[in-house]
Amino acid sequence: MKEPLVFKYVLPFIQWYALMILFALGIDYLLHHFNLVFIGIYLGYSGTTLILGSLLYSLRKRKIIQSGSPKKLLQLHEYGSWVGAVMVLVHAGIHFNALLPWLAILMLLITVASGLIGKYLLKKANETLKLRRSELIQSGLSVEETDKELFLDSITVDLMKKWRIVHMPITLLLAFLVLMHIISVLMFSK
Amino acid sequence: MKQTLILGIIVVCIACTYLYPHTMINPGELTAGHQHLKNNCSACHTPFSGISNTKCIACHNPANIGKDSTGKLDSSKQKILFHQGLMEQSCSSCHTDHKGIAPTVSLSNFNHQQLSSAVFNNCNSCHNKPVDSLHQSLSNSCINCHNTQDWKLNVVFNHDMIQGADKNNCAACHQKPNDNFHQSTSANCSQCHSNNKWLPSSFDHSAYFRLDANHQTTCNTCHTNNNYKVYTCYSCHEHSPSNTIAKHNEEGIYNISNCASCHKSGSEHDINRNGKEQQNMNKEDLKKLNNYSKEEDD
Repeated sequence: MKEPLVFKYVLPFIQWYALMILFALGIDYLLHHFNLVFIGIYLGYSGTTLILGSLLYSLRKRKIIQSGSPKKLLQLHEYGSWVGAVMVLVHAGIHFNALLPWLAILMLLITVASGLIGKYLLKKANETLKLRRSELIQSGLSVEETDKELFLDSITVDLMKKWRIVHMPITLLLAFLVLMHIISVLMFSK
Repeated sequence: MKQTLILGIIVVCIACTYLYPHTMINPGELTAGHQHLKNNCSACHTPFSGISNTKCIACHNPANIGKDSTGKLDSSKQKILFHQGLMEQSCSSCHTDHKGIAPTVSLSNFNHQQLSSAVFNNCNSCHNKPVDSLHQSLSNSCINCHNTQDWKLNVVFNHDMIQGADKNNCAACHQKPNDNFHQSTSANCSQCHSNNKWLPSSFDHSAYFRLDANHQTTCNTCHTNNNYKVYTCYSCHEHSPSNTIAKHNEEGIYNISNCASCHKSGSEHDINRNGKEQQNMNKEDLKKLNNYSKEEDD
Protein backbone atom coordinates (compact mmCIF):
# COMPACT_ATOMS: atom_id res chain seq x y z
CA MET A 1 0.00 0.00 0.00
CA LYS A 2 1.24 3.47 -0.89
CA GLU A 3 2.09 5.86 1.96
CA PRO A 4 -0.77 8.38 2.59
CA LEU A 5 -0.05 12.00 1.67
CA VAL A 6 -0.50 13.11 5.25
CA PHE A 7 2.57 11.06 6.25
CA LYS A 8 4.52 11.69 3.06
CA TYR A 9 4.26 15.50 3.04
CA VAL A 10 2.36 16.90 6.03
CA LEU A 11 4.44 15.34 8.79
CA PRO A 12 7.79 16.38 7.25
CA PHE A 13 6.32 19.87 6.89
CA ILE A 14 5.43 19.92 10.61
CA GLN A 15 8.97 18.82 11.43
CA TRP A 16 10.38 21.65 9.29
CA TYR A 17 8.06 24.15 10.96
CA ALA A 18 9.01 22.86 14.41
CA LEU A 19 12.67 23.22 13.43
CA MET A 20 12.10 26.94 12.87
CA ILE A 21 10.72 27.31 16.39
CA LEU A 22 13.47 25.16 17.91
CA PHE A 23 16.13 27.21 16.11
CA ALA A 24 14.62 30.40 17.50
CA LEU A 25 14.47 28.96 21.03
CA GLY A 26 18.05 27.69 20.77
CA ILE A 27 19.45 31.02 19.55
CA ASP A 28 17.45 32.87 22.22
CA TYR A 29 18.88 30.55 24.89
CA LEU A 30 22.45 31.09 23.65
CA LEU A 31 22.03 34.87 23.58
CA HIS A 32 20.83 34.81 27.20
CA HIS A 33 23.53 32.35 28.21
CA PHE A 34 26.35 34.49 26.79
CA ASN A 35 24.76 37.75 27.93
CA LEU A 36 24.27 38.91 24.34
CA VAL A 37 20.57 39.68 24.59
CA PHE A 38 21.10 43.10 22.95
CA ILE A 39 21.70 41.29 19.63
CA GLY A 40 17.98 40.39 19.69
CA ILE A 41 17.10 44.01 18.88
CA TYR A 42 19.23 43.94 15.73
CA LEU A 43 17.78 40.55 14.73
CA GLY A 44 14.42 42.34 14.58
CA TYR A 45 15.79 44.78 12.01
CA SER A 46 17.62 42.17 9.95
CA GLY A 47 14.76 39.64 10.09
CA THR A 48 12.22 42.22 8.91
CA THR A 49 14.57 43.36 6.13
CA LEU A 50 15.08 39.77 5.00
CA ILE A 51 11.34 39.08 4.92
CA LEU A 52 10.72 42.33 3.02
CA GLY A 53 13.48 41.39 0.55
CA SER A 54 11.91 37.98 0.02
CA LEU A 55 8.68 39.72 -1.07
CA LEU A 56 10.41 40.55 -4.37
CA TYR A 57 8.97 37.24 -5.52
CA SER A 58 5.41 38.49 -4.92
CA LEU A 59 6.19 41.65 -6.90
CA ARG A 60 7.66 39.60 -9.75
CA LYS A 61 4.71 37.21 -9.71
CA ARG A 62 2.27 40.09 -10.03
CA LYS A 63 4.45 41.66 -12.74
CA ILE A 64 5.01 44.80 -10.67
CA ILE A 65 8.71 44.25 -11.37
CA GLN A 66 9.90 42.66 -14.62
CA SER A 67 13.46 41.58 -13.86
CA GLY A 68 14.70 38.58 -11.92
CA SER A 69 14.33 34.85 -12.36
CA PRO A 70 10.98 33.78 -10.84
CA LYS A 71 12.49 30.46 -9.75
CA LYS A 72 15.36 32.13 -7.90
CA LEU A 73 13.04 34.74 -6.42
CA LEU A 74 10.76 31.94 -5.20
CA GLN A 75 13.73 30.29 -3.51
CA LEU A 76 14.63 33.64 -1.97
CA HIS A 77 11.02 33.96 -0.78
CA GLU A 78 11.00 30.50 0.78
CA TYR A 79 14.38 30.54 2.47
CA GLY A 80 14.60 34.28 3.14
CA SER A 81 11.26 34.41 4.90
CA TRP A 82 12.06 31.25 6.89
CA VAL A 83 15.39 32.63 8.13
CA GLY A 84 13.82 36.06 8.65
CA ALA A 85 11.04 34.45 10.70
CA VAL A 86 13.63 32.73 12.91
CA MET A 87 15.34 36.10 13.49
CA VAL A 88 12.07 37.83 14.31
CA LEU A 89 11.09 35.03 16.70
CA VAL A 90 14.41 35.47 18.54
CA HIS A 91 13.80 39.23 18.54
CA ALA A 92 10.40 38.66 20.18
CA GLY A 93 11.81 36.28 22.77
CA ILE A 94 9.55 34.71 25.35
CA HIS A 95 8.18 37.87 26.90
CA PHE A 96 4.51 38.52 27.46
CA ASN A 97 4.18 42.27 27.81
CA ALA A 98 2.38 44.09 25.01
CA LEU A 99 -0.42 42.50 23.03
CA LEU A 100 0.29 44.14 19.69
CA PRO A 101 3.75 42.65 19.07
CA TRP A 102 2.41 39.27 20.12
CA LEU A 103 -0.41 39.52 17.63
CA ALA A 104 2.26 40.29 15.04
CA ILE A 105 4.18 37.15 16.05
CA LEU A 106 1.00 35.09 15.84
CA MET A 107 0.37 36.43 12.35
CA LEU A 108 3.96 35.65 11.41
CA LEU A 109 3.59 32.04 12.54
CA ILE A 110 0.33 31.62 10.62
CA THR A 111 1.80 33.30 7.54
CA VAL A 112 4.85 31.04 7.55
CA ALA A 113 2.68 27.96 8.06
CA SER A 114 0.30 28.88 5.26
CA GLY A 115 3.20 29.78 3.00
CA LEU A 116 4.86 26.44 3.63
CA ILE A 117 1.65 24.57 2.94
CA GLY A 118 0.98 26.50 -0.25
CA LYS A 119 4.27 26.35 -1.99
CA TYR A 120 6.21 23.60 -0.28
CA LEU A 121 3.52 20.95 0.07
CA LEU A 122 0.57 21.63 -2.18
CA LYS A 123 2.36 21.27 -5.51
CA LYS A 124 3.98 17.96 -4.63
CA ALA A 125 0.82 16.62 -3.00
CA ASN A 126 -1.29 17.56 -6.04
CA GLU A 127 1.17 15.86 -8.39
CA THR A 128 1.23 12.73 -6.27
CA LEU A 129 -2.59 12.61 -6.08
CA LYS A 130 -2.93 12.90 -9.88
CA LEU A 131 -0.31 10.21 -10.42
CA ARG A 132 -2.02 7.82 -8.03
CA ARG A 133 -5.42 8.49 -9.59
CA SER A 134 -4.16 7.66 -13.09
CA GLU A 135 -2.35 4.56 -11.78
CA LEU A 136 -5.51 3.27 -10.09
CA ILE A 137 -7.69 3.91 -13.16
CA GLN A 138 -5.11 2.21 -15.38
CA SER A 139 -5.13 -0.77 -13.05
CA GLY A 140 -8.83 -1.26 -13.82
CA LEU A 141 -10.58 0.53 -10.96
CA SER A 142 -13.65 2.61 -11.73
CA VAL A 143 -13.71 6.36 -11.05
CA GLU A 144 -15.93 5.84 -8.00
CA GLU A 145 -13.63 3.14 -6.60
CA THR A 146 -10.63 5.37 -7.26
CA ASP A 147 -12.28 8.27 -5.43
CA LYS A 148 -13.06 5.97 -2.51
CA GLU A 149 -9.50 4.71 -2.44
CA LEU A 150 -8.07 8.24 -2.51
CA PHE A 151 -10.60 9.76 -0.10
CA LEU A 152 -8.11 10.68 2.67
CA ASP A 153 -5.56 12.06 0.20
CA SER A 154 -8.23 14.18 -1.52
CA ILE A 155 -9.32 15.65 1.83
CA THR A 156 -5.66 16.48 2.64
CA VAL A 157 -5.13 18.24 -0.68
CA ASP A 158 -8.42 20.14 -0.39
CA LEU A 159 -7.38 21.43 3.02
CA MET A 160 -4.00 22.49 1.63
CA LYS A 161 -5.69 24.36 -1.21
CA LYS A 162 -7.16 26.75 1.30
CA TRP A 163 -3.68 28.17 2.02
CA ARG A 164 -4.17 31.09 -0.36
CA ILE A 165 -7.34 32.15 1.50
CA VAL A 166 -5.27 32.49 4.66
CA HIS A 167 -1.86 33.47 3.35
CA MET A 168 -2.56 36.86 1.76
CA PRO A 169 -4.94 38.42 4.34
CA ILE A 170 -2.77 37.23 7.25
CA THR A 171 0.33 38.61 5.50
CA LEU A 172 -1.47 41.92 5.16
CA LEU A 173 -2.40 41.91 8.86
CA LEU A 174 1.16 40.97 9.72
CA ALA A 175 2.47 43.93 7.73
CA PHE A 176 0.01 46.23 9.49
CA LEU A 177 0.90 44.97 12.99
CA VAL A 178 4.64 45.19 12.27
CA LEU A 179 4.11 48.75 11.07
CA MET A 180 2.20 49.57 14.26
CA HIS A 181 4.99 48.02 16.33
CA ILE A 182 7.69 50.00 14.52
CA ILE A 183 5.74 53.25 14.77
CA SER A 184 5.07 52.76 18.49
CA VAL A 185 8.77 52.03 19.09
CA LEU A 186 9.79 55.14 17.16
CA MET A 187 7.21 57.21 19.01
CA PHE A 188 8.02 56.12 22.53
CA SER A 189 11.63 54.97 22.58
CA LYS A 190 14.27 57.38 23.79
CA MET B 1 -16.35 40.78 2.49
CA LYS B 2 -12.71 39.80 2.99
CA GLN B 3 -11.55 43.42 2.58
CA THR B 4 -14.17 44.61 5.06
CA LEU B 5 -13.02 42.06 7.62
CA ILE B 6 -9.35 43.08 7.29
CA LEU B 7 -10.27 46.75 7.44
CA GLY B 8 -12.37 46.08 10.53
CA ILE B 9 -9.50 44.30 12.29
CA ILE B 10 -7.14 47.16 11.44
CA VAL B 11 -9.57 49.76 12.80
CA VAL B 12 -10.08 47.72 16.00
CA CYS B 13 -6.31 47.43 16.47
CA ILE B 14 -5.79 51.18 16.07
CA ALA B 15 -8.69 51.97 18.42
CA CYS B 16 -7.45 49.55 21.08
CA THR B 17 -3.90 50.93 20.84
CA TYR B 18 -5.23 54.45 21.28
CA LEU B 19 -7.57 53.60 24.16
CA TYR B 20 -5.48 50.94 25.93
CA PRO B 21 -1.83 51.63 25.14
CA HIS B 22 -0.71 49.87 28.32
CA THR B 23 -2.20 46.58 27.10
CA MET B 24 -1.32 47.00 23.46
CA ILE B 25 2.20 48.45 23.30
CA ASN B 26 3.62 48.65 26.82
CA PRO B 27 7.06 46.95 26.62
CA GLY B 28 7.08 46.08 30.35
CA GLU B 29 5.46 46.83 33.66
CA LEU B 30 5.88 50.33 35.07
CA THR B 31 7.41 50.87 38.49
CA ALA B 32 5.06 50.95 41.46
CA GLY B 33 5.29 54.73 41.65
CA HIS B 34 4.29 55.13 38.02
CA GLN B 35 1.36 52.71 38.02
CA HIS B 36 -1.17 55.54 37.85
CA LEU B 37 0.35 56.57 34.48
CA LYS B 38 -0.36 53.20 32.86
CA ASN B 39 -2.55 54.52 30.07
CA ASN B 40 -1.12 57.99 29.88
CA CYS B 41 2.08 57.54 27.85
CA SER B 42 2.33 61.25 27.12
CA ALA B 43 2.78 61.96 30.83
CA CYS B 44 6.44 60.98 30.30
CA HIS B 45 6.90 60.50 26.54
CA THR B 46 6.85 63.17 23.90
CA PRO B 47 6.10 61.31 20.64
CA PHE B 48 9.23 60.89 18.49
CA SER B 49 11.24 63.10 20.91
CA GLY B 50 11.98 60.84 23.85
CA ILE B 51 11.54 61.79 27.48
CA SER B 52 12.29 65.36 28.45
CA ASN B 53 13.55 66.32 31.91
CA THR B 54 10.74 68.85 32.15
CA LYS B 55 8.17 66.10 32.44
CA CYS B 56 10.14 64.26 35.14
CA ILE B 57 10.80 67.44 37.10
CA ALA B 58 7.10 68.31 36.99
CA CYS B 59 6.69 65.58 39.62
CA HIS B 60 10.21 64.98 40.95
CA ASN B 61 11.91 68.05 42.38
CA PRO B 62 15.69 67.45 42.04
CA ALA B 63 16.37 69.24 45.31
CA ASN B 64 14.14 66.79 47.16
CA ILE B 65 15.04 63.52 45.40
CA GLY B 66 16.19 61.03 48.00
CA LYS B 67 14.87 62.92 51.00
CA ASP B 68 11.79 60.82 51.51
CA SER B 69 12.48 57.63 49.62
CA THR B 70 15.86 56.22 50.58
CA GLY B 71 15.90 56.51 54.34
CA LYS B 72 19.70 56.78 54.17
CA LEU B 73 19.88 60.53 54.24
CA ASP B 74 22.24 62.10 56.65
CA SER B 75 20.77 65.58 56.71
CA SER B 76 23.91 67.13 58.15
CA LYS B 77 26.06 65.94 55.23
CA GLN B 78 23.43 66.15 52.48
CA LYS B 79 24.94 62.93 51.16
CA ILE B 80 22.60 61.85 48.43
CA LEU B 81 21.10 65.12 47.34
CA PHE B 82 23.42 65.30 44.37
CA HIS B 83 20.55 65.39 41.87
CA GLN B 84 20.35 69.15 42.19
CA GLY B 85 23.81 69.26 40.60
CA LEU B 86 22.66 67.19 37.64
CA MET B 87 20.25 69.61 36.03
CA GLU B 88 22.06 69.43 32.70
CA GLN B 89 21.86 65.66 32.40
CA SER B 90 18.96 63.63 31.08
CA CYS B 91 17.04 61.79 33.82
CA SER B 92 16.60 58.82 31.51
CA SER B 93 20.35 58.40 31.11
CA CYS B 94 20.30 56.81 34.58
CA HIS B 95 16.66 56.02 35.26
CA THR B 96 14.44 53.92 33.11
CA ASP B 97 11.11 52.21 33.46
CA HIS B 98 9.02 49.39 32.01
CA LYS B 99 11.29 46.84 33.66
CA GLY B 100 9.09 45.76 36.52
CA ILE B 101 7.30 47.11 39.56
CA ALA B 102 10.39 47.11 41.82
CA PRO B 103 12.11 50.48 41.29
CA THR B 104 15.61 49.09 41.83
CA VAL B 105 15.26 46.86 38.79
CA SER B 106 14.49 49.89 36.67
CA LEU B 107 17.82 51.62 37.24
CA SER B 108 20.13 51.39 34.29
CA ASN B 109 23.88 51.47 34.90
CA PHE B 110 24.75 54.69 36.60
CA ASN B 111 27.23 56.72 34.64
CA HIS B 112 29.51 58.27 37.22
CA GLN B 113 31.04 60.53 34.59
CA GLN B 114 27.96 62.70 34.84
CA LEU B 115 28.80 63.73 38.38
CA SER B 116 30.60 66.92 39.20
CA SER B 117 34.30 66.40 39.95
CA ALA B 118 33.77 67.21 43.63
CA VAL B 119 31.19 64.43 43.98
CA PHE B 120 32.97 62.09 41.58
CA ASN B 121 36.23 62.21 43.53
CA ASN B 122 34.59 61.62 46.88
CA CYS B 123 32.86 58.25 46.74
CA ASN B 124 31.69 58.67 50.32
CA SER B 125 29.49 61.57 49.31
CA CYS B 126 27.05 58.89 48.04
CA HIS B 127 28.36 55.51 49.21
CA ASN B 128 28.86 54.47 52.79
CA LYS B 129 32.27 53.11 53.59
CA PRO B 130 32.04 49.33 54.20
CA VAL B 131 32.08 48.55 57.90
CA ASP B 132 34.41 45.54 57.77
CA SER B 133 37.78 45.80 59.48
CA LEU B 134 39.71 45.79 56.21
CA HIS B 135 37.96 48.84 54.78
CA GLN B 136 38.01 50.62 58.09
CA SER B 137 41.81 50.34 58.18
CA LEU B 138 42.18 51.85 54.70
CA SER B 139 42.09 55.37 53.41
CA ASN B 140 39.08 56.78 51.52
CA SER B 141 40.79 56.41 48.15
CA CYS B 142 38.32 53.78 46.93
CA ILE B 143 39.49 54.26 43.36
CA ASN B 144 42.82 52.62 44.20
CA CYS B 145 41.01 49.28 44.26
CA HIS B 146 37.56 49.81 42.79
CA ASN B 147 36.32 51.43 39.64
CA THR B 148 32.99 52.90 38.63
CA GLN B 149 32.12 50.08 36.24
CA ASP B 150 31.61 47.46 38.90
CA TRP B 151 32.23 47.45 42.63
CA LYS B 152 33.43 43.86 42.90
CA LEU B 153 34.44 42.39 39.57
CA ASN B 154 37.36 44.68 38.87
CA VAL B 155 38.87 44.81 42.30
CA VAL B 156 42.66 44.93 42.24
CA PHE B 157 43.72 45.47 45.82
CA ASN B 158 46.57 47.85 46.26
CA HIS B 159 48.48 46.68 49.33
CA ASP B 160 50.37 49.95 49.42
CA MET B 161 47.22 51.51 50.86
CA ILE B 162 47.66 49.60 54.10
CA GLN B 163 48.98 51.83 56.81
CA GLY B 164 51.00 51.06 59.94
CA ALA B 165 51.87 47.74 61.50
CA ASP B 166 49.43 45.67 59.43
CA LYS B 167 51.38 46.44 56.26
CA ASN B 168 53.70 43.44 56.83
CA ASN B 169 51.28 41.35 58.81
CA CYS B 170 49.41 39.34 56.18
CA ALA B 171 47.52 37.40 58.86
CA ALA B 172 45.77 40.61 59.89
CA CYS B 173 43.59 40.21 56.80
CA HIS B 174 44.34 36.78 55.32
CA GLN B 175 43.74 33.47 57.03
CA LYS B 176 46.62 31.06 57.03
CA PRO B 177 45.97 28.34 54.42
CA ASN B 178 44.64 25.20 56.03
CA ASP B 179 46.98 22.75 54.35
CA ASN B 180 49.68 20.91 56.25
CA PHE B 181 52.50 22.72 54.62
CA HIS B 182 51.35 26.20 55.55
CA GLN B 183 50.22 25.14 59.01
CA SER B 184 53.68 23.80 59.80
CA THR B 185 55.57 26.94 58.87
CA SER B 186 55.78 30.17 60.75
CA ALA B 187 57.79 31.98 58.12
CA ASN B 188 56.61 35.32 56.86
CA CYS B 189 54.32 34.95 53.84
CA SER B 190 56.38 37.44 51.87
CA GLN B 191 59.27 34.97 51.77
CA CYS B 192 57.34 32.99 49.18
CA HIS B 193 54.42 35.16 48.08
CA SER B 194 54.18 38.67 46.69
CA ASN B 195 51.50 41.34 47.02
CA ASN B 196 50.68 41.11 43.34
CA LYS B 197 49.70 37.47 43.16
CA TRP B 198 49.26 34.64 45.63
CA LEU B 199 50.07 32.08 42.97
CA PRO B 200 52.58 31.21 41.81
CA SER B 201 54.59 31.54 44.99
CA SER B 202 58.28 32.23 44.82
CA PHE B 203 59.07 29.12 46.91
CA ASP B 204 61.72 27.15 45.05
CA HIS B 205 62.01 23.56 46.21
CA SER B 206 65.08 23.19 44.00
CA ALA B 207 66.97 25.48 46.33
CA TYR B 208 66.83 22.59 48.82
CA PHE B 209 66.31 19.56 46.62
CA ARG B 210 65.47 19.22 42.96
CA LEU B 211 62.26 17.28 42.29
CA ASP B 212 63.38 15.60 39.09
CA ALA B 213 61.48 12.95 37.12
CA ASN B 214 62.39 10.27 39.68
CA HIS B 215 61.11 12.32 42.59
CA GLN B 216 57.62 13.28 41.52
CA THR B 217 55.71 12.13 44.57
CA THR B 218 53.47 13.43 47.31
CA CYS B 219 54.94 15.76 49.94
CA ASN B 220 54.42 13.30 52.79
CA THR B 221 56.54 10.62 51.13
CA CYS B 222 59.61 12.57 52.23
CA HIS B 223 58.12 14.94 54.80
CA THR B 224 56.44 12.39 57.03
CA ASN B 225 54.06 13.35 59.86
CA ASN B 226 53.27 16.64 58.07
CA ASN B 227 56.51 18.11 59.30
CA TYR B 228 58.15 20.05 56.50
CA LYS B 229 61.14 21.03 58.55
CA VAL B 230 62.57 17.51 58.31
CA TYR B 231 62.63 14.91 55.60
CA THR B 232 63.69 11.33 54.95
CA CYS B 233 64.79 9.63 51.76
CA TYR B 234 64.04 6.15 53.18
CA SER B 235 60.27 6.16 52.72
CA CYS B 236 60.46 4.72 49.25
CA HIS B 237 61.65 1.33 48.08
CA GLU B 238 64.49 2.75 46.03
CA HIS B 239 66.50 3.89 49.02
CA SER B 240 67.19 1.75 52.06
CA PRO B 241 69.53 2.58 54.95
CA SER B 242 71.45 -0.70 54.63
CA ASN B 243 72.29 -0.18 50.96
CA THR B 244 73.09 3.46 51.51
CA ILE B 245 75.40 2.70 54.44
CA ALA B 246 77.16 -0.01 52.45
CA LYS B 247 77.80 2.33 49.55
CA HIS B 248 78.83 5.34 51.60
CA ASN B 249 81.05 3.62 54.17
CA GLU B 250 83.44 2.70 51.36
CA GLU B 251 83.86 6.43 50.75
CA GLY B 252 84.30 7.13 54.45
CA ILE B 253 80.90 8.77 54.76
CA TYR B 254 78.91 7.80 57.80
CA ASN B 255 76.19 10.44 57.94
CA ILE B 256 73.41 9.21 55.69
CA SER B 257 70.57 11.17 57.25
CA ASN B 258 70.96 14.40 55.26
CA CYS B 259 71.12 13.10 51.69
CA ALA B 260 70.19 16.43 50.11
CA SER B 261 73.32 18.12 51.43
CA CYS B 262 75.33 16.13 48.87
CA HIS B 263 72.66 14.96 46.39
CA LYS B 264 70.75 18.22 46.00
CA SER B 265 70.10 17.60 42.31
CA GLY B 266 68.37 14.29 43.04
CA SER B 267 70.97 12.33 41.11
CA GLU B 268 73.28 9.85 42.85
CA HIS B 269 76.02 10.71 40.37
CA ASP B 270 75.79 14.48 40.86
CA ILE B 271 77.42 14.86 44.25
CA ASN B 272 78.14 18.03 46.15
CA ARG B 273 81.21 16.91 48.14
CA ASN B 274 81.34 20.10 50.22
CA GLY B 275 78.76 18.68 52.59
CA LYS B 276 80.74 15.53 53.32
CA GLU B 277 82.88 16.64 56.24
CA GLN B 278 80.15 18.73 57.84
CA GLN B 279 77.65 15.95 57.83
CA ASN B 280 79.74 13.21 59.38
CA MET B 281 77.56 11.49 61.85
CA ASN B 282 78.39 11.11 65.50
CA LYS B 283 78.80 7.56 66.85
CA GLU B 284 75.47 7.50 68.63
CA ASP B 285 73.56 8.36 65.43
CA LEU B 286 75.54 5.78 63.48
CA LYS B 287 74.64 3.11 66.04
CA LYS B 288 70.95 4.01 65.72
CA LEU B 289 71.09 3.77 61.98
CA ASN B 290 72.92 0.43 62.05
CA ASN B 291 70.24 -0.96 64.39
CA TYR B 292 67.54 0.36 62.04
CA SER B 293 69.33 -1.23 59.14
CA LYS B 294 69.51 -4.64 60.90
CA GLU B 295 65.79 -4.53 61.77
CA GLU B 296 64.98 -3.81 58.16
CA ASP B 297 67.16 -6.68 56.91
CA ASP B 298 65.47 -9.08 59.37
